[in-house]
Amino acid sequence: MKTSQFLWKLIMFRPGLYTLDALLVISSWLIFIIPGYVAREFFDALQVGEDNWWIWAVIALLVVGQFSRVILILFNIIIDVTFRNMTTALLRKNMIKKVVGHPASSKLPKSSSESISRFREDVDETADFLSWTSLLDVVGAAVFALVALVIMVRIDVLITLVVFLPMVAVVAVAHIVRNRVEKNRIEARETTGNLTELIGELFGSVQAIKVMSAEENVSKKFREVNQLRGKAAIKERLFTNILNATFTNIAEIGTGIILLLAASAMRDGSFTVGDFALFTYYLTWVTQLTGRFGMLTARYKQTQVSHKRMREILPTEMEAELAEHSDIYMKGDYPEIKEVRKKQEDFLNLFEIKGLRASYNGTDKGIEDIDLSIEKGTLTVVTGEIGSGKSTLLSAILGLVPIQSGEIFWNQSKVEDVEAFFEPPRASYVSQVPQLFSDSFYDNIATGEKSKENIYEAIRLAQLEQDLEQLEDGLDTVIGTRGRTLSGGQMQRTALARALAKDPELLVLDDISSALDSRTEEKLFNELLEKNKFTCVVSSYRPFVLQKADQIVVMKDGRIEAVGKIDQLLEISPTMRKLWEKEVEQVG
Amino acid sequence: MSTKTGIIRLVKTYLVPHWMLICVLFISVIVTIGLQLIGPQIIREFIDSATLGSTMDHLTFLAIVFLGIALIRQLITIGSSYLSEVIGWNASNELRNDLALHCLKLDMSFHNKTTSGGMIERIDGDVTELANFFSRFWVVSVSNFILLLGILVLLTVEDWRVGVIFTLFSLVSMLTINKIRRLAIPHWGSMRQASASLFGFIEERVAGAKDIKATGGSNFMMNKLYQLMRDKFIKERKASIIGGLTWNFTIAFFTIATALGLGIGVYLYFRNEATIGTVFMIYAYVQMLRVPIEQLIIQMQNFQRASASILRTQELFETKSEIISGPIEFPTNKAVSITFDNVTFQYEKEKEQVLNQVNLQLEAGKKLGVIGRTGSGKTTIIRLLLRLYQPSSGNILIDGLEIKNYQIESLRKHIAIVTQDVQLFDGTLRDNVTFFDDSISDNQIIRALEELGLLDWLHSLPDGLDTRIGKDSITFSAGEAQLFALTRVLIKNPAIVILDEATARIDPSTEKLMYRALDRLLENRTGIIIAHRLKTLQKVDEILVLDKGQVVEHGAREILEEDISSKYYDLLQGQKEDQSA
Repeated sequence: MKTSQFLWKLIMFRPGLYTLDALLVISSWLIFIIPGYVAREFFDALQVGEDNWWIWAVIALLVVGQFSRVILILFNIIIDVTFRNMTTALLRKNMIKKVVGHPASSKLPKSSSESISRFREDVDETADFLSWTSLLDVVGAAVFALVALVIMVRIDVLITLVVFLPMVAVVAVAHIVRNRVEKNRIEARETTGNLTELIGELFGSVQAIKVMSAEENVSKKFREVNQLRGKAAIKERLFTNILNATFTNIAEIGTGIILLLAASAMRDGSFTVGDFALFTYYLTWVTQLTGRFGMLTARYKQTQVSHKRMREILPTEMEAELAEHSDIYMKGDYPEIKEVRKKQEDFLNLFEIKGLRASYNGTDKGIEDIDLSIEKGTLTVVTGEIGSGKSTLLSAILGLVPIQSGEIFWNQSKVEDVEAFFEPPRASYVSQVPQLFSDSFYDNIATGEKSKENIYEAIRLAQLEQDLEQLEDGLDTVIGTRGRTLSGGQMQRTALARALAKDPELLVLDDISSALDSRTEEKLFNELLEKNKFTCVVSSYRPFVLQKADQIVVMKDGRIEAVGKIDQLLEISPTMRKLWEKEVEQVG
Repeated sequence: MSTKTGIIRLVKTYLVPHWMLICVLFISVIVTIGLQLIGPQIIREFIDSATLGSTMDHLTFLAIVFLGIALIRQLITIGSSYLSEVIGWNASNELRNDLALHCLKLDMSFHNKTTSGGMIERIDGDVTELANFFSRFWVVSVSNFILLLGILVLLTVEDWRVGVIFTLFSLVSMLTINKIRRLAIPHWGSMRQASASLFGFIEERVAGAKDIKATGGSNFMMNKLYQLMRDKFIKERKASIIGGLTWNFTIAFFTIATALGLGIGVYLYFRNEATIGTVFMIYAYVQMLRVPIEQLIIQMQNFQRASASILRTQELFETKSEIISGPIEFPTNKAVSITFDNVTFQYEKEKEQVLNQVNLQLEAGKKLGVIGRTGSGKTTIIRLLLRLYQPSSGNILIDGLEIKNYQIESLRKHIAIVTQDVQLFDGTLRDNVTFFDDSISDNQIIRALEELGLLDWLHSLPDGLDTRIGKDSITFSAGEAQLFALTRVLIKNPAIVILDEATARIDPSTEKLMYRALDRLLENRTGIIIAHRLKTLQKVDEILVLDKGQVVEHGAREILEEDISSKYYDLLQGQKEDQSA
C-alpha cells in the first residue's frame, strides 16, 4: 500500500472529525484576510484626510474578526487532539494486536527499544503529518494565499508577480536541498535509535552491570553513542534552520522589492499607502506558505519512512492491514473479555505431528522430520543436549516458530492454522524464560480468565499458594518490572499458574525444572497428571520426570533420535544413555 | 525542590562552561535586533518622501538600504541558530551522560520500579526536551525581550504617550498570559506520565509477545491498552486546551494592540502631530510587537514542557542511593570469612520479611551450600552480600569488617557470581564479557573460553569475538548463554565465588565442563553455592537450610549427612528415592 493510500485510509477512519478539523483550520486562516483589508481601508481613508465613522468601523471589524478566530482555535485544538489520538490509537492497536497475535511471523527488531520507537515516534509522526501542524495547516495557508493573491493582483499585477518570484526561488532551493535534509534526518534518527536502544539494554541488564561493577565502563560506551547522536542532530538542525531563517526573512526581502517597484507609483498616487500596507501584511503570511510547503514535503518523506517502519514489523501478509478500521474504545465501556468455552472438538484425545519441519526464518538451527503421537493425559518429555532443538520443537507445536512443512492433527483432523489454533483452551505454554508483567499477581495469572475457581486451582497446582501466603497483599501484590523482585522459581511457577488458569487441554512446559527444587517439581507433576486431565509435553533432564514419562523424545541435531520409555531408551539411544549417566552420576 | 532551583543547578553545571560561545551568540543576536528595528524607520522616511514627491534616486536608495539590511540579517540569523544548536546539544549531551551514569548507580530498589522503556523516556525524552530548552529557550527569549524593549523605546522617542500606552499594554498582556500559562504545567506533566506508562506497557508486552499469545492473554492485554490510550488522550486533551488558552489570549491582546495603534494614529494624524509615514511606522512597530510577545509565549510554553522535564530530571538527580560506598578498598584476593549478624530484610517497608534474623558464620576458604524452597530467601542473601540491597537491620561482615565500610566497586569486583538467569545485551561477544572494560585483553577472554571448552564454538562464529548477539537472539540457548556468561567470572580474580543455581539450565554433558571450571574457580576461595539439586553440593563444607527467610539448620555437611534427624538428611533421602524409583 502506498503511503498516500495509507494516509487516506487513516483519514477515513474518522472522516467527519477530519473534515471538521480541516474546515476549522481553513476558517481561521481566512480570517487573516481581514487585517490586510482593514489596513488598506484605514490608510486610504487617512490619506483622503477626513476623520469619519468609516475609519472607526474598519478598526471594529478587525477586532471582531480576530476574536472569532480565538473561538475557532479553541475548537480546533479539541478537534485536532482528538483526531490525532484516534489515529495513533488505531495504529498502535493494530500493530500490537498483530505482533502479539502472530509472534512467529512478525518481524520485530531484535532490541525492544527499537521496536518501541516504531510504536512511539513513527506513529506520532504519521498522525502529526495529517494534523493541523502539518498538512491541514498548509491546506489552510494555501486557501488563504489564493484569496490574498487574487486581491493583490487586482491592485497591481506587476508588483504581485515580481514579489512572488523570490518565493519561487526559495521553493526551488528547498527542493534541491531536500535530499540532503532527508539524509541528515535519517542519520539523526538512526543515531537516536542507537542511543535509546543502548539505554534500554543498559537498564534491562542493570543488575548484571552492578554485579560486574561496570557502571563506569558502560557509561563510557554511552558517552560515545551519545556524542555521535549529538553530532548528527546538530547537522540535521543546521539545514532545517537555514530553511527556516530563509522562510522567515523572505517577507522582509519582499517588502524591499515592493519599495523598489512602487517608488514611482507611490509618488504619483497610483499605489497608495493603503495598498502598501495591504501588500506587506499579506506578504508576511503568504511567504509562510512557502516555508510550510517546503516543510510539508520533507515531512511527507518522513512519514513514508515511518509508514515503512511500522509496516515492516508486521507479518508480511498483514502489512496492508496496518490502518484497518476497528473500534478503539476511546469512550464508553471497554470490550468484554469473552469466556472461551471448550467445544466438543476442543477436548483432546490424540495429538499427532507428521513430518514437521520448522525453523526461525529459515536458519539451519531448526527441526526436521518430526513424527510424534501423543495421547490424552500422558506425559511426553523432550530431552537432548544443548542446541538439539528441544525448545524449537516445543515452540513449533504451538506455532511460535514458522513451520516450513509437515502436518499437525488434533483428534485426527488436520490443523490448518497452527498459530491460531494452539491457544487456550486447547493449549497453553510456559516458556524457558517466562515473561511476567508489572501488574498484580492476579492480573498476571488471570490475564482475562474470569473463573475464580480455575484461577485458584491453577495457583494451587502451580505450587504458588505458599508464596502468596507470605505476601501481605496476597494476589494483589504488584510484581515489579518483568517480575524482577521474584525469584526464578517464583517466576516460573507464576507463569505456570498463568498457563493453567486457562484450563488448557495440552500443556507445553519448556524447561520448567530449572528453577524448581526437586520436591516442588515432583509434587507438581504428580498433581498435574493425577486426574488424567492435562496432556503434558515438557523438556527436562530430571530423572524423576524421565521416569514418570509415558514417552521420551530424544532430540539430536534437530531430529528425533529415539522415542520410548526410559528403560527402552537406555538400551537403544546413546544420547539418552549419556544424559542419564551424567545425571545419575552427579546425584551420586 | 522547585523548578527554579532545578534550572539554576542545570544552568550552572551545563551552560556556564560554554560562556564564550554564548557571548558570541548574544552579540550576533543583538546586531540582528538592531537591524530589525531600523526597518520601519526607513519605511516611514520612504512613505513620507514618496507622498511628498521626493526624487526617485532618494526613494531607490532607501529601498536598496532596506533590502541590504534584510539580506545581512538573513546571514546572521543562520549563523546564530547554528551556534545555539551547538551549545544546546553539547550541554544536554553532558547532562544525559551524567544522568545515565547516575541512574545506573542507583539502587536495585529503584530499578525494580522502573521499566527500561520508562528510562528511555526519562534519559532521552526528557533530556532532549531540555536540549531545546538549552539551545533555543535562552536565546529566543532574551533576544525577543530586547526586541520588545527596543520597540517600546523607539515608540517612546516618537511620542511619549504612545510609548507609555504600549509599555503598559505589554506589561499587562505579559503578566496575564504568564498567569494563564502556569495553569497548564501540571497538565503537561500528567500527560507525559500517561504517555510513559503507555509506552512502558507496550514495551513489556511486545517483549513478552510469545508468552501472551500462547497463554491466551491477548484480549486482556488489548483491554489494558485501550485503557492506557484513553487515559493518555484525556490527559493530552486537557493539557492542550489549557495550554492553548495562552495562545488565544495572545491573539486577543495583539488584536487590541493593533486597534489601539490605529486609533492613536488617527488621533495624532488629525491633530497634525504625525505624518502618514509616522502613523505607518507606529502601525509597523505595533505589528512587530506580535513577534516578541508571541515568541516569548511560545518559549514559555516550551518552558512549561521543559519544566516538567526539569522537575523529573531534578527528581532523578535527587534520588540518592541509600546504599553508600564505604572508604576502604577491598583488601585481598585471598579467601575471606563471611558473617551474617542478625540480618533481617524486606524489599519494601511494610512488606513481608524475606530474611528474618539470619545468623551465619563462614570461615575463610570454606564452601557453604544453601538450600531451601524457592522463595525461602536464598538469592536474597547473595543480593545483600553484593550490596545490591541493604539489610533492614543487622550487619554483614567480611573478614570482620562490616561490608558497608568497603568501596562498593571493589567489593563487587571481588565477588564473582554465576546465576541461572544470564543477562545478555545487544552487542559484540567481547562487550558482553568485558562490559566495555578496555583493560581486559582478547587473550584473557580467549583463555577463559578455552577453559570452558568454548573455543571450537568461538571459531565457528563468523566474526569471532566481534560477533554481535541480540538480546533475544535465537541461536543462543539458555544453557549456552550461561556457559558463555561464565567467562565474565573467569576473567575476574575474586575472593568470594557465588553460584546461584548456576547449573540449572545446563544439560548434563555441558555441566561437566562447567563443574571443572567452577571447581578450579572455587579453589582457595570462599564459596556460597545455592542449589536445589543436592548433588551439586557434594563438595561443600557446610550446609545452610533456609525456610521462609529463617535459618532452620546450619552445620557441617558430613555431620548432617549422617544425622537422621536433620532436614538435610531428609532431603537427601528424598532425592535418592527419585533415583531409585
